[in-house]
Amino acid sequence: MSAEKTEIEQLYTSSYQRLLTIARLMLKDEKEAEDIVGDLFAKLADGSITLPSERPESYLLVATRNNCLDRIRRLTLREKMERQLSLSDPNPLYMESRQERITEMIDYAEKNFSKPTWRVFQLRFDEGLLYREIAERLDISETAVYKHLAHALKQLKETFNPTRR
Amino acid sequence: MKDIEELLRMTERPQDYTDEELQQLLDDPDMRTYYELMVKAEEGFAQRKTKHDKGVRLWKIAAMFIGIILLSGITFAAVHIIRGQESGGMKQENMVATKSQPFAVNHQLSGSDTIRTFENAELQQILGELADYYHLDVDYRNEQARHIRLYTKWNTAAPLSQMIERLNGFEKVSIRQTHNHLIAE
Repeated sequence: MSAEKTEIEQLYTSSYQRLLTIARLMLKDEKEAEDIVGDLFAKLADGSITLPSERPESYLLVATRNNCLDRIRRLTLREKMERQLSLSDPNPLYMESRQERITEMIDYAEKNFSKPTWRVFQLRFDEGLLYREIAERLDISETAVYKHLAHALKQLKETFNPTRR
Repeated sequence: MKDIEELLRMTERPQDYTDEELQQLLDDPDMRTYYELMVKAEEGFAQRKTKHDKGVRLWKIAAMFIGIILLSGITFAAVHIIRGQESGGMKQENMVATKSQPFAVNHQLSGSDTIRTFENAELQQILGELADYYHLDVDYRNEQARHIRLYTKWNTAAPLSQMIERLNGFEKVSIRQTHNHLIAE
């Protein structure tokens, strides 16, 4: 077995799960995430791409992220909405600061929303309940659910500028 | 307000709208902003969950060691362990040993302490433990799946996805994770 092949196998063992997790988070689709990471290792194995001699793990991370971004760019508006993906063109340079900003936003919401609004917000975006389910869970009308969420989004829009990533 | 409500409906059931309707609503910069905020809200909670899981894992490791030390006859006047959620780490406060020197809780951890072995265990027992650990609910779409018996190991320090993959490697087992559920099909 060649040294290169052994290196690819070792990288597969050490990095596959991590790369798959990143791809899943970015694409929000299990099958596509597996395709992206699987393709990457297949290309390494058949020699269509070559690993750099330094920091091959970082190379794999960047390649996975870029392949996911390419895939996202090709999705239709409807497909993006179905997966709740961002509609703006994702810029890899800003991904880290974007995450920090998102954390700040959720912390702000927890501290500043009224208790009922926070609860509705949480049930929708954390637990992923349907509006009808939230209404049933909290024993309020579906219209009230919409109102809480609309109010929450307005409050966030006023405080955070989402065009800044 | 009415448009936001429409947007909320649209994000829940985009299949009820034509491409033109979706495009039209999202051509409005305000609606686009609200949509992006919704996407970020979902991502934000997912990020929190990841941090929380790390914190819970560390707390459990700490608790296990306190148990071992108490059994060995050393008593502690006060032990407070606070999970530092923000940093994803753990703080110790006011740890006072009557017989021994203060110690670092996780120093004595060996690799095998994070491995749980299931021998001829029913899938419902395995998923039950995973669900407790990761604060998830289990949904059995196929009731027979509960009684599939397996021999497997679970590394509690590894990501849940790894264990799901391991389980899915067994014949007749199909597990997937959604937001707050483990679904056995």
